[in-house]
Amino acid sequence: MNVVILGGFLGAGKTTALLQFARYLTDISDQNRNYKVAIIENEIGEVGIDDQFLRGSGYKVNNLFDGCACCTVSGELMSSIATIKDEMDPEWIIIETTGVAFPTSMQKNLEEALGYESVICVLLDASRWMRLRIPLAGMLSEQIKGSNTVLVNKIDLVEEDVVATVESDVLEIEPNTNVLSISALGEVDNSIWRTVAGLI
Amino acid sequence: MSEHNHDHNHSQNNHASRLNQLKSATGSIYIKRMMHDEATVISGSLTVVTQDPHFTEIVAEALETAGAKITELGGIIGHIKATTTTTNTKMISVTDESAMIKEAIDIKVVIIIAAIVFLVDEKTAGDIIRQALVSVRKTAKG
Repeated sequence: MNVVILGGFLGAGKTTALLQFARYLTDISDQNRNYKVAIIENEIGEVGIDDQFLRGSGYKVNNLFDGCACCTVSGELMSSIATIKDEMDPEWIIIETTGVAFPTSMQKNLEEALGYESVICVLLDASRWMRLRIPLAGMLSEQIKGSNTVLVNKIDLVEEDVVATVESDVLEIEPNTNVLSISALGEVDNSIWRTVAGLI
Repeated sequence: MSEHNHDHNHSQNNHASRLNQLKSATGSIYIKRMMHDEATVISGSLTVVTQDPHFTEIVAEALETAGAKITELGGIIGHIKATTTTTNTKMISVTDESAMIKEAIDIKVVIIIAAIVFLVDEKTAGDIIRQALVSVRKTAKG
């Protein structure tokens, strides 16, 4: 079972990207398998919003509400993954984190508790980067550190020099990550999803 | 096992049940607030009945006003999201061979709000989201 952690700050476009990514994984998965992709949706508040949207898009979604799966509800995340493995055994699990989660904490917990390796993809909102990068520097840096891929999203809303600044800032924080630019509202090239999935 | 020899607590269950009833009662605004590291997290809900088919736009306007207030206070909006789920009841009846369809005048709308903001304290953010729901309620019958 392959695990992809999809992180990034609030409003970065995680759920929009997730829908395309899930479709890509479904297409490349073993067609004889009953369950190809499972999605775990973690929302920090008591109520869920994104899970309702994903359900409306035809996916079966497992929720983790009222806490963050990198810390306060990390036990529930492990238990959910173990249950999904037992009952569905999908080829892929995508975990969409809350917008305030630190994906590397989740990755560490997954490896220590269940022995699963995972890849981390972090979405960034290019249109809000300049506004957020100073007041929320600590949180954004912690989200980017340790990622395998960073998708700089919403590039259709900014000038090229802003995209270049975001990419440069990201590489300063995490020199080993793959930085790719996208507009998740449009069709994203499959080669990008292959990179996100860790297949390249 | 006798009726009262089990391991759950009746008063807690009754409380939870009453809380759920209160949350889903028409016109009742429910707000829960919490802090998570630097983030102020507000969850809210409201059920109303309305005859306005464009009710979702009224909710959108209320969220925009809430967002403007957060920004005015120097806060940063992580997100302010809402879902509206509408129930539009229709009755279909047959008494001879042809079906008669009647539609209820009122549309029931359940609004769920989730807001995450930064640099604004819990109470202020909670009050702003409550005001948003109050303004939505004013436009409906609930």
